[in-house]
Amino acid sequence: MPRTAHRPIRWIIPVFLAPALLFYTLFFVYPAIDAFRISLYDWSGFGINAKFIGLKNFAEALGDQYVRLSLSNNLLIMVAGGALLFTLALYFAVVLTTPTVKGRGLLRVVLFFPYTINAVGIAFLWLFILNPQFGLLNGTLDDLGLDKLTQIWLGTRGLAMACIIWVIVWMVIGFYTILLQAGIENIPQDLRDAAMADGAEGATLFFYVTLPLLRDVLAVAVTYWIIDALQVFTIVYALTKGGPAKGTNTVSTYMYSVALPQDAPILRFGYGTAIAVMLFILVVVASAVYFRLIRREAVEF
Amino acid sequence: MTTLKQIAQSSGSVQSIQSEHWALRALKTLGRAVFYYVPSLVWLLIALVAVIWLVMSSFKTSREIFAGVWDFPKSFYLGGYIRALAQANMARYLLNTTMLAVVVVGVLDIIGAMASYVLTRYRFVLARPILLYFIAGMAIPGLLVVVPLYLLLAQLHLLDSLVGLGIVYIAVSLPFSVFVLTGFFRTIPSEIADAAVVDGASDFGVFWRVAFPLAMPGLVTISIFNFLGVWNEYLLALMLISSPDQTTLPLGLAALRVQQQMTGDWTSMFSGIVIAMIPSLIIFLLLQRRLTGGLTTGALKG
Repeated sequence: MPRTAHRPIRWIIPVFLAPALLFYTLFFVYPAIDAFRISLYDWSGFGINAKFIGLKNFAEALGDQYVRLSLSNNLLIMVAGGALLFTLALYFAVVLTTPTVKGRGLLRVVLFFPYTINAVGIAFLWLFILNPQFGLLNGTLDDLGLDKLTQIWLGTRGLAMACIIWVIVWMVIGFYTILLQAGIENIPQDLRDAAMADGAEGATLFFYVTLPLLRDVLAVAVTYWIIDALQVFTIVYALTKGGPAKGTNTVSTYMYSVALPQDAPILRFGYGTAIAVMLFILVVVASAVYFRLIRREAVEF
Repeated sequence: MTTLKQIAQSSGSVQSIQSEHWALRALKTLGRAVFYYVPSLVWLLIALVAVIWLVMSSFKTSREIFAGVWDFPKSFYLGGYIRALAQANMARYLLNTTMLAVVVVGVLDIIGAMASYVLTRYRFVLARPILLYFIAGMAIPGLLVVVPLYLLLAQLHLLDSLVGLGIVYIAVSLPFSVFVLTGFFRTIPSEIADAAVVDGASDFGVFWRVAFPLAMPGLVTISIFNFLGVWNEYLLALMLISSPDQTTLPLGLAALRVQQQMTGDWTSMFSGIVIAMIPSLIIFLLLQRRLTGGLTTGALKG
């Protein structure tokens, strides 16, 4: 809402800004800055034990094999999960924007509802579906006579990572589909009509008209995914707690298990926070680099 | 497959469309139907099967759960729900989470609207820097602040309390809320507010009587998102809450799982998941359009 003429003192400005600024600064910005200080300490969380050790936490993290393993799991989720996610999301976005397809409203609901319900609940639902003794998946395979295919789904690192990726994709696909759908709907219909008049249809229309014009929206969506994939916590922690043998940890779950271990009495707040700071820097750098790479003149309609 | 391909190639040739053989047209229609409907139906089936199995299992006894995945529950057994709600405290967690979400959403609506209004309506030097300062918070991951917040709340004696957790939720939700609300306030023509000023309304009066009501669609959007955010948040709650009477739903569900692992009470776990899902499912189904609409404005205008 643009501005009115200038008057001496507008009390409304400081009065209305103060509460939001106060909450936000004190309980979000200040802790975020404080994280950088805490990461320089050997600190178990209680004042007396804090010892300044400079960058030693960061040096330790760089040499920690579990940090590397966790990060490689994040990258696996980002790349393999991203390939699956965007193939499906693009497909569903095309279906949802095709006027002749029936039941699009229902499809939209089915795609999007997992995004809105409790992530812990979703993880536990899949934990039970994948349960080797009474789970839906093994049980159904048995009933179909395919008992050779039954697995201890979360028992080995490879399978467990595949399951984690599946559950994450299942949960977030609605969000990405709806972003891409909005992108397709924003492409002026006359552009598509013109292409169709020239004889383009189906795959040709998609790859030569829709996809190039969707580039900017796709870039935004991929940036969101990079940020999400590097920060995955809830699904992994609720499904596997990072196991078996710490093999499915992501950086977030590993950081949590280091800072507040459930099985050991030693809290490592300084070290855990150093890992969080490194992840934060990685997220900022990765999304900035990606955005730089794909940037070019925006397509104007 | 090869025939389909050959047919597709021949159909691309110069021969006129009218002379296409009826079999060819039928095949094309079939191909199109398979492409558009089969994967969508598979997805529908997965979701349907998962949810039906979940609800079915929540009415089975533990013995029935192990008997066969597709056996129908023999006597709609309610023990799981009773134990989840009473013994495992799910009723308490539901109440805690609902109260927390309502307060957090209400406070965010009011202080978020106040800040966003001032930032868009008045021209002053700091308006733009302050707006950027708020929006920059969208880039701060929760993981970065968990330990500092733990230490801060411990100092303020707000650790392990819903009040402390609520304050944190308000703080971390402000960037998104201000981002969306400033977008909405910008679309309200200034003439409306100016007319109220001419009619003698004070600065505050213009806000409460004119701008706030006009920003309702934006307020609804952020309310839904903030409500679901509080309802589903796990990492911060896990770090900042430890006692059962301050526990929120995601934490409570995780606690129920630990308890169920020790007692082998699978039924109450299935029931617990259903209980945790129902409220957000209802909100989603009621406000679906608004939710997805708000999501695209929020996510793409950045």
